[in-house]
Amino acid sequence: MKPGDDKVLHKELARWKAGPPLPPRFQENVWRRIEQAEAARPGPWWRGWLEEVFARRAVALSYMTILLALGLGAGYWHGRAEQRLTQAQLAERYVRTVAPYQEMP
Amino acid sequence: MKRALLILLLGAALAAAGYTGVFWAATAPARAEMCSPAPELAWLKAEFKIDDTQFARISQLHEGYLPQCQERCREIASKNAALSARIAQTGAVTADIEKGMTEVAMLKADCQKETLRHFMAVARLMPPAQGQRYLQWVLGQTFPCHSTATNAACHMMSMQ
Repeated sequence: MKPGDDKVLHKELARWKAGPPLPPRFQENVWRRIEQAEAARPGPWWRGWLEEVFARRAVALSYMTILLALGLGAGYWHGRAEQRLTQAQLAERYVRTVAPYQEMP
Repeated sequence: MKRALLILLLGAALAAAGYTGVFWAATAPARAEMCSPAPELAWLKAEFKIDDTQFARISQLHEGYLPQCQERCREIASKNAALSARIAQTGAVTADIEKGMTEVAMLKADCQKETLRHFMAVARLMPPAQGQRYLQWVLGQTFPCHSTATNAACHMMSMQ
């Protein structure tokens, strides 16, 4: 801006009048509209698919039952393996305690 | 979306809870054995279905056997060390090395004999079927040609 432009600015400012006051809850409404616009934006494809699939009660129930069964099965399998390993270690420990000089197979 | 996410998380939580619960239950016997004062004896008790009275006697036998066994082991280790030093010194099979080797072999044979006696004494304290199973197993673990040893041991057991 040039020094001579001050006059133009003054003139413009003198002419300027504040508009009518903002409507009530203006800010809140703006935020609501932003949120609505964001919600309306399409998400990734799987979101819609998940919502659609889990909207059916039978599918949701089956999913949870299958996961529970998988958890139980994995726990049982791993627990048995751990149990067997410990038993083998204790058996070996017993043999080494009572017969440290014997040949191990 | 919130509902779908909740179902997803609930499924995962159920799986984790199921896994933990079953794993915990399945490893409970091993944990109990590991926490006992003599885990290997606790294992023996569970494996060969030994009752409390038999277990007390077997534990007593075990406690009595261990110091003798350790003493024999110390003797063998000491003879072995002396023999190794002598071999390193001479670099030939001299008469005293031969003698030392014979002594170590005899000590080991004594050790085996005592170990076998201990196994048989333990087997006798078990219920008969379990005693046989124990002997078969322990001889298989400790003696070469275990089937022959087992047969011999069982034969000796039946003669006593």
